[in-house]
Amino acid sequence: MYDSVPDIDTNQETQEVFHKRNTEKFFTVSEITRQIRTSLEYKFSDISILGEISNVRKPSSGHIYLTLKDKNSQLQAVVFRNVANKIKFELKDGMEVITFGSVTVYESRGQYQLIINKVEPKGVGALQLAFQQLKEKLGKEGLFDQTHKKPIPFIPQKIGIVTSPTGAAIKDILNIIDRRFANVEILIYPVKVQGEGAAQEIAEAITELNTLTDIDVIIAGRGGGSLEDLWAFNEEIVARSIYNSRIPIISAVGHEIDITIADLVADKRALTPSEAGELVVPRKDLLLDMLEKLETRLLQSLTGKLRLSKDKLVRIANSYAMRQPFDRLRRWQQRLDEFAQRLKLNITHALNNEREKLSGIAGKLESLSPLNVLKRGYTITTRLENNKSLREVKGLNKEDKIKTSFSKGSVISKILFIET
Amino acid sequence: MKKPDFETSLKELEEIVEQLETSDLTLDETLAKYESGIKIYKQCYQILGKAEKRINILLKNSHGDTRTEEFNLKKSDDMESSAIEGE
Repeated sequence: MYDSVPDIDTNQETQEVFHKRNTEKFFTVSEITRQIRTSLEYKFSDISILGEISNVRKPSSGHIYLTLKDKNSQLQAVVFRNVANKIKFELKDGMEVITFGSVTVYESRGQYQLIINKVEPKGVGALQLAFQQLKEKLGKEGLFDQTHKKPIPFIPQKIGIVTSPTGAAIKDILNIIDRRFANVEILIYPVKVQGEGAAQEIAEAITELNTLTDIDVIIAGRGGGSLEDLWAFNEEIVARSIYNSRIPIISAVGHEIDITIADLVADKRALTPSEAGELVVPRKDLLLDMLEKLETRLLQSLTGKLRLSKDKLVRIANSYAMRQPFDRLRRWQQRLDEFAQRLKLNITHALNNEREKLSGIAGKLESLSPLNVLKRGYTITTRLENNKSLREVKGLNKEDKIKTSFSKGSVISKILFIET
Repeated sequence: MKKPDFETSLKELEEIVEQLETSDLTLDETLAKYESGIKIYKQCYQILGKAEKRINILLKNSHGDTRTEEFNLKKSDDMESSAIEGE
């Protein structure tokens, strides 16, 4: 941009010089351009213009250049970056829009153009249009695909909640969880849920919760509000963070009628924050009841089976087929007893006989005992060294020691000489 | 360590109960089924009581370091109600 007071002064001086030299009056190009610009800006500032967008260009500078046209005319227009960043929907060729801005002149090209400060689609709200556009774009990319949706764990151990810690949503969610399944761990990731920077905070929170290892499921949401209030949940950055989440996500935004992009990407949509509390945990009392009933049935079927088996056993035991072998057994046992009795008698008899025989033999044995012989005056002589009885002198030598046993006592003698 | 899955366990328990109730099993089979059923029942029970109630909020300081603190939902309610009661 190029306008300053001293510059104008210089031009005025120059003008005066020319005035003097030539009576003809003229403007420099710059001067006339500036005057045109001033008059245009004066006349056409802060105006609304309806037109169809064509020839949209979006260079890397961030400014958007486009042509507004109708049947007969065209108007060059520019949306500077600071304004472009605030436009929620995408400017596309063929779109009918109402623009707000001022006409000015781009001096270096001598072109007049409209500087757009605000733009709205005709007939539909800017946000609705933005929603439709993003929905279409992300839908085409597959962000809403059912196949990508992860199952919500039946009983999570730890739940992450991305919402405002002071909003109505957190209260509802915590109340419902507490009522259904109180003993569960919850980590609240506090975020702004509306206004500048809310979408970034929500997306960051979801991404960061994904770096924790113990979160089983995430609830992301807020209470009801206007479309503007809920807007963060319609931002692409939030949609992508949900899509990229490794942890399953339940969206819980506003009321049932408010469908956001976040709802479409989420693995599960809760109609309200309260419903998110219902979706995230089962009712523990019902589960306990179910378990108790199963346990009762388990026990009943076992006792039933046992009773049946017992009855069957008793029936079999009492049956003729089973009784018969028992009868035979008893008869055999009786006979066995008889045999045993008889056997016992026989053996005793035999034993007695043997015992008598034995005592007869014992008497004979006693009469033959050498001790009795000694009593009658005989002695027994043995060699001392080996205690062998001696029947003859053969083998004995002079000086050998012998032992002579009497009926009572014995003597040890040395052989003086041997007579044969 | 893999977490035991409540839903699967419960379904398994249901199947066992149904088998016990409907099929003609031997006494040994019945006892074996009963035992495994009781085992699953205990596991399910444990899962329900496993987690502890704990509500924390994540806080960040200006350096971006995070810490967690116990979150008390009742705080604002208490203040309101005590104001009403004129404490």
